[in-house]
This record gives sequence, structure tokens and C-alpha cells, in this order.
Amino acid sequence: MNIIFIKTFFRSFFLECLWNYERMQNVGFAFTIIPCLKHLYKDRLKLAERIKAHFGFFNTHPYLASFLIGMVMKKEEEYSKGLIDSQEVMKIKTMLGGPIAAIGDRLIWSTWRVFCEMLVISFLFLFGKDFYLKANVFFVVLFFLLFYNLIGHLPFRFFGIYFGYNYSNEFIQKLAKFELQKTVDILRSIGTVILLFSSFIYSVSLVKNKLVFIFWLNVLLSMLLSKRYAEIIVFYIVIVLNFLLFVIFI
Amino acid sequence: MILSLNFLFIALISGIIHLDTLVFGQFMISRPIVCGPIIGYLLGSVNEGILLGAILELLYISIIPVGIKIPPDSTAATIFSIVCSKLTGCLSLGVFLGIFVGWVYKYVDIFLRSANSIVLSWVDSAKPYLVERRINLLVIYGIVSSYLKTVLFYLLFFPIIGFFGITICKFFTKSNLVFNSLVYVLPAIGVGIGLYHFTEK
Repeated sequence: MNIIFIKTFFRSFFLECLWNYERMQNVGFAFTIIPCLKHLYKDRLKLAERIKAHFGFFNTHPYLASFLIGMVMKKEEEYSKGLIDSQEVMKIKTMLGGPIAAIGDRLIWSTWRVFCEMLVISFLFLFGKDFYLKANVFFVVLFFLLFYNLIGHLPFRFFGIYFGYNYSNEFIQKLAKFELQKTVDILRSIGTVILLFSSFIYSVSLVKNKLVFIFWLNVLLSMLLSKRYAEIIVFYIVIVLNFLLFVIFI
Repeated sequence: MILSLNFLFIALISGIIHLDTLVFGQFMISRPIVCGPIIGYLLGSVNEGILLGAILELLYISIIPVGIKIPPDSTAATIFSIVCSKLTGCLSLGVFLGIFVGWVYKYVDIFLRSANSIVLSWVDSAKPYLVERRINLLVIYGIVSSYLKTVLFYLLFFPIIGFFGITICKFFTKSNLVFNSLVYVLPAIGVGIGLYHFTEK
């Protein structure tokens, strides 16, 4: 079974390869689960029937999808032995896809990814306003990619399949023990402190250009506008205001 | 001629980088902080690449693809910002136009994702011995169509944005000093957005 897990892991990178509005990640999911189905069903007709069964609607977070893939593999194994019916297998996909996507969006997209990006940018800001001339680009990019992927991406993808497969029935109870909200809060607090500290150092380097006050004014303005408007709108409002301010005073 | 070849080369590389956003892996190679220095290096201005990459990373830090919502594209915004900055010599103008292109790219992406639904019936109607093969082909189709979409988009928009950038730059020649001073405060917008994102409940 180990070789099946490895094949499934590599195929899971293509989960969103043909994302569509009708059935979303269905092509990627069917493609990912094929090695497991081929292992379970030697009859070609039955195999084709099961692949088509998994060609229906599926949508969740691409990293955390591995948990669900592992669970479906386990349920499919039980189905092949006649222990459960087909609906039981499909129920898992429809029932857990949404909750897992919500956890993934909160934990990975809006916390872990943002935390890693803030860490890297904060590091750059420590070099002051000329950070792009002083910092080692290769090191920064490599650090970001390794740190992000080795901690918050690949382990989820790889071990998620094992975890989902081995704990398919107690998945929710196991997940509840992880205290995800606490992890999110800690990462967000650390990120905020680091970004504030590095922004302060960056702004100090603007003293010579007499731009410190304008820098912090923009930070405040952007924070206030973010409450009401989308990020892109905030950017254009602030940039136009700055342009006018600079035209008047420079 | 050299400029056209450069555009073609950047479009081909950008197509590969763009695959990371959805089609393959999501290793974050397509994030501005990574693709900025890469494109900057290819255009011979790695410092501009990292500066614009860092600025755009902050601006797009809180934009996430929740559910079926497709956000403005940060990769297209970064690459166009760098190309436009290189053409006009003005970094903040590059960011200004690049972000607009990222917003346009979002709608191209939505169109292609809608079009993807059409090919699904190809598997539904397949005979049993063809099902697996057709799914494999759909995966290849997904990769190739996404790559071609990006390359064509870049080849179409490079000249348009380049023309606009150079025209605006000529129009605001006296304001070049203003544009260049803006670069130092641009990160402030990102810091503000980032702080709001991390402190909101």
C-alpha cells in the first residue's frame, strides 16, 4: 500500500489542474485516486465505474485535501470488500469537503502563508529603505520557499493521506484536539509584532528623505480604508492621495 | 526585435510560473516575493525585481482565494509591474499599471475556468476502457490550456501596457521625481493592509 500512498501524493499536486465551475476539482480528484482504485479493482469494468463515480463534484483546500483523499481510499477499500455501500464513500466527500476547505483557508491561506510572507518582508525591512540593494535575494527567496513548503505544505500533503487513511472514522475527533484557533492566534500575534518592529526600522531609514511621517500616515490610512474597501481600491485611493500630496509639496 | 524576443521569453517563463498558482503544486513560486526577483533577474534588474516583489507581496498579502472567489492575480501584477518599470524607468508607475493588469487577468481566468466545464462530458460519455486515459488527457489539457492562456495574455498585454506606460511617463515628465519618491512609501500601504488583516478577528 505504501507505493500507492506515494503515487497518490505526487498526483495530488494536480488536484486543481482543470478547476471548473461545474464540478470544481473533480478531474484532479479522479486523477489522484486512480492508483488506489487500480490496486483495489482488477476488473476493468468495475474500475471504470468507480473512476466515474469519483468524477462528480469535489471541492476543498488543495493541501488539506490529502486528509480527505486518505479517508476516501479507506472507505473505497471497505466498499471493495462489501463492508459498506457506495453512498457511504461519496458521503465523506460531500460532508467533509466544505469544513476542511474552511480550516485550510483559515490555517494555511490566511495565516501560515501570510506569516511566512511577513517574516521574509520583515527581514528585508531590517535593511532599511535600500533593502533591495543590500539583502541577498537568493537567500531570501530560498528561505521563504523552504520554510513555507517544508513546514506548512508538504507535510500536510504527504502525511495527510496516511492520517486520513488510518483515522478515517475518528478524523473529526482527532482534528478537534489540535486547537487550530490557538495556533492561528499565536501566529497572527507573532506576525503583527514582527511586522510592526521591522516597519519601525524601515521608517527610521526614511528620516533623511523626510518621509517618516508620510510613511506612518499611509500605514494608518491604509488600515482605516481596509475596513471598508477591497485591497486594490485601498491601494489606488492611497496612491492617488500621495501623488497629489507630493505634487503640492515637492 | 530584441525587445520583442525579450517579451516572448518573459511570456514563456511567466506561463510556467503561473502554473504554480492553480494547476500544479502551489509551492508559492508564483508569489510576488519569489517571481519578482526571478523576472527581475531575467530582465537584468534583480534589485528592481525584489523591491517590486516585496511591495506587491505586501499589497496582496490578505487577498486569498476563498471558496469559488477568484482574487485579482498577484503574479500578473508583479510581472507587468517589473516589465513596465523596465520600459519606463519609473517603479511606482509600473506598480500602478501592474495592479490594473492583475485585475484584468482575473476575468481571463474566470472565463477559462468556465470554459473548462465543456470538456467534462468527454469523460462522462467515455466507454469503460477509455475512462482512465481520458482523465489523464484532461489533466494534460488543463496544464497546456492554462499555459497557453497565460502566454497569449502576456503577449497581448505587454505592448499595450508598454505603450500606456511610456505615454503616461512622457505626459508626466515633470512628475518623475514624485513617482520615484512614492516608491519609498508604497510599502506603507502594504504594511497597513497587512496589519489590518492580522489584527482583525
